[in-house]
Amino acid sequence: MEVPSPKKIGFRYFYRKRVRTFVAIFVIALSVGIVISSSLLISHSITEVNKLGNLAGADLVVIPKGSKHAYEGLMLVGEPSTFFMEDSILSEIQNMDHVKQATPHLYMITLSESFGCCGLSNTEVVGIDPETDFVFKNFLPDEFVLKTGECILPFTVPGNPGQTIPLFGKSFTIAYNLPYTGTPLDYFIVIRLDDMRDVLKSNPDVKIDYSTLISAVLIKVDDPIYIDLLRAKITHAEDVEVITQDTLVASALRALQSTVSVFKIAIPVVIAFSALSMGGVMLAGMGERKREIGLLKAIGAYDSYILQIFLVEGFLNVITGWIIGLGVGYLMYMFLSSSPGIQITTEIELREFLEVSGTGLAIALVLGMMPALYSYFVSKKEMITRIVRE
Amino acid sequence: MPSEIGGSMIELVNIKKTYIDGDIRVEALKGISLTINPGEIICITGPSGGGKTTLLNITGGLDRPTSGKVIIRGENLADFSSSQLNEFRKSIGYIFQYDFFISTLNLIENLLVPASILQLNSEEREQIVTKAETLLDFMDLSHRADHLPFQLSGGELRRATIIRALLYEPDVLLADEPTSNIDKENKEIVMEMLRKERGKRTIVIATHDIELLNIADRGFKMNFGELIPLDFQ
Repeated sequence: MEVPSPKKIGFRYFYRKRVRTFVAIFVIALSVGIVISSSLLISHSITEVNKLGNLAGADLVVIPKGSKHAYEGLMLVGEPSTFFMEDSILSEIQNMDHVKQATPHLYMITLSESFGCCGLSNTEVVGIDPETDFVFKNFLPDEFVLKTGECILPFTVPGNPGQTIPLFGKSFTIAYNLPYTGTPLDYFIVIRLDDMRDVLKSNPDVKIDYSTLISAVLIKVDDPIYIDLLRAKITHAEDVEVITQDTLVASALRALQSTVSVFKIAIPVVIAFSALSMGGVMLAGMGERKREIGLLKAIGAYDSYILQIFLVEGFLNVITGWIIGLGVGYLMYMFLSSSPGIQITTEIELREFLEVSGTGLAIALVLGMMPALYSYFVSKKEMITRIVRE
Repeated sequence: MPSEIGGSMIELVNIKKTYIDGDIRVEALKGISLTINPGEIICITGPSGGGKTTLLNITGGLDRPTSGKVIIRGENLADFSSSQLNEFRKSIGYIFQYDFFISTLNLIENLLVPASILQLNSEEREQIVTKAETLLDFMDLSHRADHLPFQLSGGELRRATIIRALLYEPDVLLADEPTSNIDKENKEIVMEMLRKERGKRTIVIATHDIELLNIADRGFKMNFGELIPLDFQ
């Protein structure tokens, strides 16, 4: 038979006061989880948005006036939409000074029933000109050329090269599976612009003649210093507006700001709520605790002996809650990052892991140890009188 | 073992204790003076609320008197440092009026907690474990050794409290109602145990049970704060 040490007594409080321990661990784990998932989500969202500016390809995008909101929705969260303007603007732009490349896009929402699968109903199809394309080309093999009757699938749409899928009532052969790009391109099924116009023309349900319509012109300038100049020049024209990478990113950051603000408010609220819950948990057992600590004090236990009991129990709560919180945080992050409309990497770098783990540990320590120390000081102050006055 | 240094083990000098209970001022002890010699058994009887427990708590350093002195082996308890007070408490065995145990430790572990507070070495710990098992057997509690306090009856907890108080052979045993809540058979066992301690340690008993006067060297009646000697021999 082993003589119980203060560490063992602390462990027994942790092990046998199961309701108290469960609530303490739950509160710590939830707080750590929310803080970790929020931190990762905020940090990765900003990183991903900034990637848009680096990778989307074009320096300027010209779209029909009034379609900015639809374009941003399409590019930032993959919200399907369609808008169009006369393609005469394309040749005008191509003839402008300092325009290195200009390529047209025609965006159309996929008819959901054509895929026979509910999950693919909202995929956007883009018609491109392979001759002038410089956007998708960045993610395609050097020798690859998109031919008539072929399509490129984003990683979000199932299908293998050689198979066919129906688009707007016509079968297209899958020529290539675009890997994850971390850009808005991940939302698009790609076909040739002339193919798109042909199938739309032959579809009896489509009443509009798309043979001279496009949705956007993507422009690459020969030197970034001319971006603003070109933008001003094109904006001057009627019925179009110009979006730059900067404005797109700024819009994305603005949209993200509300989410970030919610998290920034939610984090301290969660921590405050957790701290109150922990205080409640500790105070709920205070009467019994004071009697027991009073007993130890009455038979000669030093303060350090009693402190050890509280520290061991608090530490076990902290470590258990923290470890569970790490798992909860990562799972919450995985869930949120894969939610519809959010395309964020689930990979976490070691440095980032250490940072969020450290933050989580700090929160767990505050939530776990502060009540333990509070209980110790309250018990220390009142313990013997508690026994005396029973 | 009780100290033989000096004439008295414990000396209470004009101890007064006053509580303020709301607007009411309660004089629990009205100038108690008492000298307790080493190895002596003192029994204090009297009605509830008469001040017996208060006197015991002050004697054991768990409470402070409003005025007066508690002299332990010639030293005033009020002058003790926190560390000295702890050491003094280690030398005392308490049988509290209510049974306090660590709720998360089983019975035998509860009995052994003081061993870690007293910082006994491994040999002493082994001896204490053996002695605890013997006393549990003697008190018919062996089968309850692995049970948690809430699983024990009131009588079993009372007996366990007595074992814990005697297990470490304290210089002074302060027993508050040691025979309450136990049946006649176990009461005889407890009285026999206390009787066997005569001369080995100083014992102060506070009780309603006048039968315990039979094992005492001196008896007193606590009558609402005043200590009246009893001539019972």
